Amino acid sequence: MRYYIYANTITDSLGKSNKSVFKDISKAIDKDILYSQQRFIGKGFAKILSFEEQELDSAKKALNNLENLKIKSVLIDKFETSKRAESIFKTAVIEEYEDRFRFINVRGNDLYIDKVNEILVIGGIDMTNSTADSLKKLCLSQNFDIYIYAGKEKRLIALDLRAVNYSKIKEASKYSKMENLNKVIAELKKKSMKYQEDFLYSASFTPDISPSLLIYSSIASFMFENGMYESKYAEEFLNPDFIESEKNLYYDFKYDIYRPGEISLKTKPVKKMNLFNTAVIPLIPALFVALFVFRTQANVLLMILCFSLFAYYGFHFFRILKMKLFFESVPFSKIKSMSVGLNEVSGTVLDKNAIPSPISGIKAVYFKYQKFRKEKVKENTEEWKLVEIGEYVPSSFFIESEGDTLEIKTDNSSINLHSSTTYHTTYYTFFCMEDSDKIKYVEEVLPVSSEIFVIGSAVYSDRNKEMESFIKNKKANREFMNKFDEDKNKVIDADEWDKAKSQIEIEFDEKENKKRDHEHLSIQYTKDDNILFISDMSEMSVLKRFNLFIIFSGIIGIISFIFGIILIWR
Amino acid sequence: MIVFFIGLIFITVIFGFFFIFYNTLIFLKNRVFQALSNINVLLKQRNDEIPNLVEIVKHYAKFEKELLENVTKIRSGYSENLDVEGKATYSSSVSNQLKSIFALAEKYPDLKADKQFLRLQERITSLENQIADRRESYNWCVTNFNTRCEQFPFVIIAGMFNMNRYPLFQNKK
Repeated sequence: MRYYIYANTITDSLGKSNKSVFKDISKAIDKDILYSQQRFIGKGFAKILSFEEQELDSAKKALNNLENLKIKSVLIDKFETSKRAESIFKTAVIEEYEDRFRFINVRGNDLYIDKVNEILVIGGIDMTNSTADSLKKLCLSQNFDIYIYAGKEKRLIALDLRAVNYSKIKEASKYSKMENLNKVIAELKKKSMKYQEDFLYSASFTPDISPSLLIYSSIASFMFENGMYESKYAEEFLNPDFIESEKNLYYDFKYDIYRPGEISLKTKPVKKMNLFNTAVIPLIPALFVALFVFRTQANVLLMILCFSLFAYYGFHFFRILKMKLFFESVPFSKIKSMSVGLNEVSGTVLDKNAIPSPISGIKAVYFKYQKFRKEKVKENTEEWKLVEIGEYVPSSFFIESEGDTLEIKTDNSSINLHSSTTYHTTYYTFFCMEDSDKIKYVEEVLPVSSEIFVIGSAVYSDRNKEMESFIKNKKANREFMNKFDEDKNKVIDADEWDKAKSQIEIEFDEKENKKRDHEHLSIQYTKDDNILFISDMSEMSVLKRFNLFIIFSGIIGIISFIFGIILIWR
Repeated sequence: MIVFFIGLIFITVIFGFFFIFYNTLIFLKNRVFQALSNINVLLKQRNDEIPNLVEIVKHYAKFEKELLENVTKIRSGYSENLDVEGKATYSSSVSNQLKSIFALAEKYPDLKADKQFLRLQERITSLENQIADRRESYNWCVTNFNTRCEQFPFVIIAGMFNMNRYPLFQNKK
């Protein structure tokens, strides 16, 4: 029987622990850990060590080394053998105890796991309430079993949308489709009350469990028992392709549902004053009137103000006018007949590189949310304060028009979306477990299948780069590489690699030759043209906005100028 | 002093407008050139495929000498230096001749079954479609430029810098 040890980091600041923790772990266990930054680093698990029963000593040593790194270990057994699951959250030492492993807990609640079970070690979690929540969040976000035991050893599990059996749900609820999931959850909430009660009165009730997680787990449990939920976690979690040899201590995560690592977070940004903010605009004429009334004292000040406003709005008037004329001058091109250089194209967003927004659940190639929290500023006064900005921008996405597809590379792009929506709850419950009255999210989203127009430079794709990534992918494809392992020693030596490489190059050329002319092009930002404008509005709507702005800034500019002149003559 | 100050602001504003309108016209003018050279690229590509097509057709349709000679003759008349009207005329005549050649396939089943011929037919048809799209794009650029040149205040700048109208790329029947 083999045992596996998994490690995990939880961090909100990607890059900090990610880069160093796994190197440290690698050192501690004296093994190479294979990982790729995009998939593994961040919030996730990785199999770091596998061992046979007789190798337990070395495993213990490795665990002790991990302890020295102050990576507190949390041990979770993979099957339902634990009677006291709540005690698993802090275990320091592992001992062999008859036919079981004994995990000595600092609280004195030892945990026993049968040797026949696999062991999962999650590192990087300590026992403060908040991080215990993080663990739960993480387990939910990674679609991993969360072991919370209710009465009669009932296991409450996380809800995995992929495993939801909609036809069964339909029998229990009048709603059945994904878009009605919130309604389904509301319906199921009622039906799962019994489970919540069971849970609250069970001996293993964990006090720090958050209410939303409780509901979530209860729903999941209800669904599980009623066949609405098909649990296949055990097979899914251990990816058999990667357990073949000890060298492959790598777990390929299934990020089909949600990839939190790809959302870049900016917390508490500096609030910039925007003179065009709707709240400020009405103040401008009021300020004028006030200053005009008190002109004897504020004559010079008023004059300066007038000319400053004139300069400011004059500048923006010309800037937008220039942009408007530019937009009007760029001809529209069909994707299939696009040529190198500046182009305006339109099309429907395809779902490649799209992920569901955690806020609205809409599958999108771009979303940006602002998280506001209600905070007390004075007694009886609360204010919404911006606490976080999250954004998902893939390096590229694709659009389709008349059967032709085109890649849009998003570097330096300016994405202009016509509207934003406010939410008090998030589609993925684990994303926000705070009180919905105290939290709001304002989200802008560019969903799959939306019509967009793009102005940017069409550039030929870099053949060498594409070739490099093609080779890399082929190299990682074990099935393909095994064909070239002529001496069957499971190692691709230089001669074998030469053959493999020439085969890869032939395949790449074939693939490239099959491409049509426009498929070699992608729209991107270039320094020469200095623009990559993406919008889900029509060009007409964008131009209308420009016109409004031009008129508005022109009027304000002229009024400021006239007032300034009047003041000078007086 | 005040008059000087007001005058300075006035000149700055006028200069701002001039700068933007002049640059817009130059941008549009260059777009016209670019759109035309985009058509040239495709005309050249189509031109390069014609000898291959003639060679294959010659093999199967020996009695169509006149038609093939005609295509070759028209093809040799192409030059990068042709003006827009010349290119439009050239493009239409080549298109018409090519249509006649493709029609031969109905008369000669062996030709219709030739893989090389089919590949060339597909390639040339695709080029023809792209030429049509780019012609549309060119005409859009020209119309945009010509309209601007006649609009106020662009008309003043166009007049000052002798910016003339460009002809459209029209299919000659």
